[in-house]
Amino acid sequence: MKGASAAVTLGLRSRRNSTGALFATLVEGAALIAAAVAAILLAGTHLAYEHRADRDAARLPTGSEEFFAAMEPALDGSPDQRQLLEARARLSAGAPFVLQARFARLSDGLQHSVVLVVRQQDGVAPPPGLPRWPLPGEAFLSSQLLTDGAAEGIATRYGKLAGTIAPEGLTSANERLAYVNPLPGSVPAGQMVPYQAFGGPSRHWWDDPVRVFGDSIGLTPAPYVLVLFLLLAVLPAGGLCLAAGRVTAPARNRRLVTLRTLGASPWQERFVQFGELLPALVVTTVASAGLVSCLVTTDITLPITGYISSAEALRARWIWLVVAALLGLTGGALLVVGRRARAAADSTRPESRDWKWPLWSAFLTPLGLVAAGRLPDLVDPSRRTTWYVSYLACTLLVLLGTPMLLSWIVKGTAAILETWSAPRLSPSLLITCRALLRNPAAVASPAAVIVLSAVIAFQGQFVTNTLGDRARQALAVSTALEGRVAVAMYFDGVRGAQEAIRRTPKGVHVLLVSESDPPEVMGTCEALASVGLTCPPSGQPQIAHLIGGDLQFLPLSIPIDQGTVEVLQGDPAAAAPRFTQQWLVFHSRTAINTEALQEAVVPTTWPNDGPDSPGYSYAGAGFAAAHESTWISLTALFALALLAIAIGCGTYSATLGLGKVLAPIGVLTARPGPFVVAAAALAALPTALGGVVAGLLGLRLTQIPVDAGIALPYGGTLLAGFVGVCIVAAAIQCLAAAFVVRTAAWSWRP
Amino acid sequence: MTSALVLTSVAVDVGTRRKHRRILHNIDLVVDAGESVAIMGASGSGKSTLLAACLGLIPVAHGTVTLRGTDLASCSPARLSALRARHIGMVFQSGELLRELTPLENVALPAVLNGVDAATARSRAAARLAAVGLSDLGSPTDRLSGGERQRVALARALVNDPSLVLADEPTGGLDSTTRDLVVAGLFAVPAATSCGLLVATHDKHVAARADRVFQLSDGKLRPLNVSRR
Ligand SMILES: Nc1ncnc2c1ncn2[C@@H]1O[C@H](COP(=O)(O)OP(=O)(O)O)[C@@H](O)[C@H]1O
Ligand SMILES: [Mg+2]
Repeated sequence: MKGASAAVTLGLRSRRNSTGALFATLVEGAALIAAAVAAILLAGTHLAYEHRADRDAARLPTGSEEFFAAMEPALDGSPDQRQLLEARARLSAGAPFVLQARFARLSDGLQHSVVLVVRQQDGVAPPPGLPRWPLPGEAFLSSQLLTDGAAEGIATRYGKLAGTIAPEGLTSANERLAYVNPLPGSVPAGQMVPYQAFGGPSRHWWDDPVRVFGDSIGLTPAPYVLVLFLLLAVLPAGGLCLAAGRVTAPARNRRLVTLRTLGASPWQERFVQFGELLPALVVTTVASAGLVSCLVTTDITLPITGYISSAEALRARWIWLVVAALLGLTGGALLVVGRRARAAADSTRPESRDWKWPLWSAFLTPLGLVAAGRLPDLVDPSRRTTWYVSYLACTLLVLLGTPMLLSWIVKGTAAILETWSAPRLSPSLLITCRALLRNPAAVASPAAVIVLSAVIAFQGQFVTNTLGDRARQALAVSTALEGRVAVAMYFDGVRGAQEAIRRTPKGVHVLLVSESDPPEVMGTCEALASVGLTCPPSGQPQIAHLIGGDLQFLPLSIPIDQGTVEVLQGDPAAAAPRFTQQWLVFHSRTAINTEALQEAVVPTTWPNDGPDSPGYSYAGAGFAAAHESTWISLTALFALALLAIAIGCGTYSATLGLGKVLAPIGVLTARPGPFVVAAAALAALPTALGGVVAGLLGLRLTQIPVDAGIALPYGGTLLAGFVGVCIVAAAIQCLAAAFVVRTAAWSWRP
Repeated sequence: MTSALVLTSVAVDVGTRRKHRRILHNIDLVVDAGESVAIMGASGSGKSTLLAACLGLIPVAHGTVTLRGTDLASCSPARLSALRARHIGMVFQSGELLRELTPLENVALPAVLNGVDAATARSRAAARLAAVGLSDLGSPTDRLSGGERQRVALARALVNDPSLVLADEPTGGLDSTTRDLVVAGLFAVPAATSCGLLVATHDKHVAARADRVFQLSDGKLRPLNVSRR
């Protein structure tokens, strides 16, 4: 390429020996490192989950063909239960080992998998990660489980602690897992599944790793984290690169236009741009290389989430981390440069583009807010889906309108202040207002970026926290019920449900509950009365309001707090075909012997879980959601920190230009004060405005589901922290801008 | 009558304390009220440095700079600023107007900053603009032509009735017609307001309009006998 190296050198030279150039490099560096880190995070997460899946597959117990063949009839929904049990018992007796995995819960709701294993033949390799088979009454626990459950004596809960599970046997360092060899007779016969060996291809859908060990329960699912990183890390990083290109554009455009008039080819212009970007690229490449080598050599515990990034998992596919980092850097660089090239092409045009927005666009956000505020009255909160969709639509309207609204706020306020200050010739106000009027986007767009990322992060946090709240509610309900209730789900399993009702031990009432809206409850008068419902005349439905008491045992996927149910009297066994998706609710005046109930009923629910305490699995998912919200906090903080850096740097470099213009007049008139004030105001305005609007919108939007009774009031630590950061950042920006303008005045010479 | 500006054997060093270079040697110069003085010199000869010394922006290595009888070396920074604000008007090569303000507001700005009330500042600014032939200027500041810009800058320099006007290459980027227009405005000032005018330029057409002309070369100031009378 002709003159390529000269062009690159020219670009590189332009980045030397000036404060403005240094800050342009800082802005671009911040954007590029954001892009690289976001890409590495994304790839690293994906790799960690791949590794998890591999590990899970490697420890998957493989069963015999015979067994699966015998179990096959269960899948068509009408197995002969007796035959099934007999086959299982027969095949279990001759298997190398039998295994059963179940979920258990720590007192704070954290779930863990407990794998019961009993070796029946010699010469079988123990489960991966274990030095030997546990003897009867012995248990091997993962170290995370030992840590989490230390306070409640987890070490001895499942028997004598024989040791910890080695990392090879765990899908991740965070996995909570226990291998237990139960004392003979403590687990009902027929519940254990016969297996041949550990490790091997899975043959049937039901023996996929998650079903067997339930590893995913305590760990945030991969798609969730990936989407989260996309929304809160990759997108802001991309936006940051675009913004960085825009911030550094004016100075570059002048040079590029000059070069163009001198006959520089587009390629040579590109090379100049590359040269300008080179210092930032070198620094960020070195930093990314450092990050990657850190990730593949040491296990890093991430703050807030407590997630342990496994060096081993990443080392196996380290090349993909490098590729991701390079992609992030290249993509980021293209966004920075691409923006600049386009700006260079039309640098003669005036800057402000958002003047074209029609006036009505300013009303989108208020409209969304008003509509959202009316939701509790307009939409029945018990219709969760409708409610959430309406709420989401309103929130989207609010967020979509934000850039326009902010732009109009900036323009309107500036115009009003201008008409006020023009006759008074107040220099600081006049300069600030005119600068805002000339290019409102300079303030409105960074402010909008702040608002969008803050509100999305806060909403995400809020929603997952709400799920966590419901998990806590579920836990509270199941504690309050003192084991008097158990539920089991039947999915199109009519005969299974009927069989279960038939097998239910004496003294336990059975109610059939449909998962419809409103839910229908059917049972004998005796069963209905046992949960405080009056028995309607046979066949005649009666609407009852769900108000506390034992009625709360209704499965938590059914709205329990304010909903109504239709109560029907009748024999649930006969009514089973009425519903396609149904729950059997087992109720007793005293605590139900869950083991006995399981023993009796489990074969009928297979492959669903057996009857269990209500909300048991829901609570697990809810607590997982609560845990997921820590990921939102982490990524949100990451995104916001980068935004703050970039906006700070951008304003600083923008004020450098202002300082240069204001210096002579400031010196000669002996009153730099008004110019310092104007520069400080212009510097801090985007952050201050963004922070305040984000705080207001965030609070208002979360208040609405609280008003509707869908969510519990939420403290908003994230939001308060964010607004606090914005205020501090704005103050720093003020000082920085004031400092720049003052020093520019001090060092000014004609 | 006191002189607007007196320089007595002034020497100026530039560079760092350890490694410096003397670029002005033993300069003697008097600018009286109502008088125009031009300093000619090639680019890089030290004209701007000399003006900076007159403004008290850089210290002199030797000699004194006296503005209306006050030795700048004896002034505190605050007093120096006040002196500049009250007594000096400055015109730059490219105008240095604030594009956020209208031309009228640009002219009124130094008056407002000097404590004059808005209405008075405005009418004074309008009068100064009229004096330089721009009585009905409607365009925004960043759309002004080079000549208009310099004349607005001149009006701004005069708004506080200074006793000394300094101009650093005021016609730097202008064509000859526009230059004559600006120069006419500039050299009308001493007669009209009886303030001193010191113009640094490399253009002999500009220098020719001055009452006295000096040549700055090799750091030394020599009178030139270019007289228009
Ligand atoms: N701060 C400084 N440090 C070093 N050299 C300087 C400094 N200021 C001016 N100079 C040098 O002094 C000489 C005179 O500069 P200047 O007064 O700007 O010239 P003119 O205005 O006549 O073109 C130039 O050679 C310039 O490089
Ligand atoms: Mg000069």
